Amino acid sequence: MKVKNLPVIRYLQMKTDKAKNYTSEIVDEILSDISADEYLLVEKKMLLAARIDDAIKARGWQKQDLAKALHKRPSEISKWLSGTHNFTTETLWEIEKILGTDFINLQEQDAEETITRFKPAMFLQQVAEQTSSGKYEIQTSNLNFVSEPDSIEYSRERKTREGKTSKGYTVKLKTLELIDFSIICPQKQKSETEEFNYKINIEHKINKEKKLVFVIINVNVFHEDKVTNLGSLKTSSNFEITDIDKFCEFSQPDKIKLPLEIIETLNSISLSTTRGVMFSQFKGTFLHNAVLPVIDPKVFKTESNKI
Amino acid sequence: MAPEFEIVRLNNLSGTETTIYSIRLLNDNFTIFENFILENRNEFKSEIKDIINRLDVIGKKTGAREYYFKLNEGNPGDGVAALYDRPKNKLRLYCIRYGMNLVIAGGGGPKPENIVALQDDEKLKKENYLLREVSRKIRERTSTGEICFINEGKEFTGNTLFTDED
Repeated sequence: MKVKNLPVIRYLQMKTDKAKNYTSEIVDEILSDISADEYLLVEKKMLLAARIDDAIKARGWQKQDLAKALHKRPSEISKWLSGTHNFTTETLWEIEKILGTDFINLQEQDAEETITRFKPAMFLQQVAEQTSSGKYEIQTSNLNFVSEPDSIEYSRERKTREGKTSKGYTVKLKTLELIDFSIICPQKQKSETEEFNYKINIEHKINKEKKLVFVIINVNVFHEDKVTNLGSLKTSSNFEITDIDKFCEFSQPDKIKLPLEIIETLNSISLSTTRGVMFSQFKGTFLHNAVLPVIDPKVFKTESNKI
Repeated sequence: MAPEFEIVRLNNLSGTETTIYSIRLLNDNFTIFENFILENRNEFKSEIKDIINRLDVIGKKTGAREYYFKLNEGNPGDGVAALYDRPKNKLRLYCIRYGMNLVIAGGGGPKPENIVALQDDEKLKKENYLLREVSRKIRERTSTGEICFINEGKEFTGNTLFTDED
């Protein structure tokens, strides 16, 4: 008898065997051809259908019950739940009334509500913050030697921008990530003339082996009372610096010194980039005019004065 | 002759909600889902994008809710279904749906407007009946314990290779 035919061996194999993992280049190709807008529209329709489905189940109903309550045919409800339907406001309102659910909440004056349109898992420790009071005070954290954060991905064929500094090293902006973004609806409508206050933190992370520097900028937008938080946005601009070894001092295992010129260059690029991202995210909202001010990258305060 | 095939997990589309698998016939380099894309991506590009978009959202966000599928497109209880897409779309993709958490994406094709039943179109009939056969063979193995569902029904484990020797 062959060993492989022993029932116990086959049983054990069965418990550990899984179907082959397969990454389809053809599927990848199509996925990369879908624009963010196209993707989100399909996702939104499917999520709305899922919410209606959940609300029906939460009442202990089946789709026939909803059809009966709305004087519709069950096939009409199936169409709604397929995630392909374009709802009219009237239809959604009818469904909301029957199911007692609020699918689209437009009541801004209600309790403070955070609308988070993009909030993946946080992957970085936020550095200590310093409140701005009229001025825009910026602080950098210690420069930590860290491994590459898991959530930052690199596109193989993404175009890069690069420029040489006066000292001859080349800086490439390889990727830009929107790490976190939120708009917090105010309890009261704001006047158009009011001013915004900003709290800005800059943090650097470095991967020596890959010659990468991550400049993470966290912007909090505050009401003119300097207390009420109205929104936030966090970006990571990821740079590749040639010959980083020549310009950095690795004095301690977890500390690193970067020349001031590099820091200013990276911070300046990153702040400008973040300003653009802020505008694209906030436009059309009550934070439309919350444009990140022009900031001198030399006006930095470093934590514990270690750089 | 019975088809020889293996079940493969499509990493691109699988996510925390649903694992998306497909079938690779052993005499082919591509899965039947990939062949479906290759056969239709020129003529029905936007529909192919829509279908892949939907499968990606199912895998990563919503799970395979029953209303996303036109159920009962195969034999009774075999899970063969068609993915709903935009109402005016012509393409039909057949799948085997095992609850919210596991889907096998199969093949399909354009559905002519003048047909009543899928059996009226040779291509749709071929793709649909292939999935019925796949479902039957998987059920044979699940009934003997040779294939099991694990990880809250999201994954197959066991012998997922089907050859003439079986």
